[in-house]
Amino acid sequence: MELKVDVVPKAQGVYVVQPAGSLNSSTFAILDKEVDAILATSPNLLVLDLERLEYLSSAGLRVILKAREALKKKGGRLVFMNLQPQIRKVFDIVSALPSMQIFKSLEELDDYLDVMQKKVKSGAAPDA
Amino acid sequence: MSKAATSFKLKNALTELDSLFQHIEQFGRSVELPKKQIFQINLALDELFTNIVSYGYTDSNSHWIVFRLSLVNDAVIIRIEDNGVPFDPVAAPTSGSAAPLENCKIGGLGLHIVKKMMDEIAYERRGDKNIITIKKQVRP
Repeated sequence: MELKVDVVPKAQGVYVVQPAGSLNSSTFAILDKEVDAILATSPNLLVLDLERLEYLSSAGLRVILKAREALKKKGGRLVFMNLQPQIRKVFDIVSALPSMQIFKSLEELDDYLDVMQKKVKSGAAPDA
Repeated sequence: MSKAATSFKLKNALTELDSLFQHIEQFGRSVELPKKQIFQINLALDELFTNIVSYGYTDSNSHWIVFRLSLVNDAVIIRIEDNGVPFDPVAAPTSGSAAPLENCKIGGLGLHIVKKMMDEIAYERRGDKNIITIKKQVRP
């Protein structure tokens, strides 16, 4: 199965990345390339929307963990949306989720972004 | 007692993953495995196959990796045979949850997933071949 990656700029410094299909050792480079291009812009927030991700192996996990580390170093964050049960299970196995934030829907994400923007406007530092 | 089996071989190329999945799905459907268990078997065999293809060969020739899947009573037994360099996935260190994931050795993350998804895994070096045998209980 192939992997298709859509990138949707959501707000200033905020990108929603939507990988669809199979994220494995033969397809991970496609996501890696898209993520690298986004990282080069020093984003504040990268949202991984996994609604249409049907399969994930350790090769794919590694891309995601690498992106999380790279963002952290630059003061940005990686969050998740729409984790399907079989994908969540893979994250659970490697205990990768506790330190990551997950949004159940686009609505929840919008609320979060609103709060973040208000904080920025009021001069307070956004939650790290 | 029910018994069903299938054998197939793949070349040592990651582009063969699609073919691996098709074989597993076909076998899984034929013995009426739930989707969740087909996904788990897919993932475990993907990790092992990827390891063999990525680290198993020192030449650039084409090699065959042979799979045999069978359902014996209530367990799926999988046998993977390759003629790559000796590698024992049972003895290899895996990244446990205690170790930081970023520090885990190449292949360690995948092997950790395999061990969590499957019930038993055994390794044997026979002549110039690595033979991995996996058991997954599917109908408790």
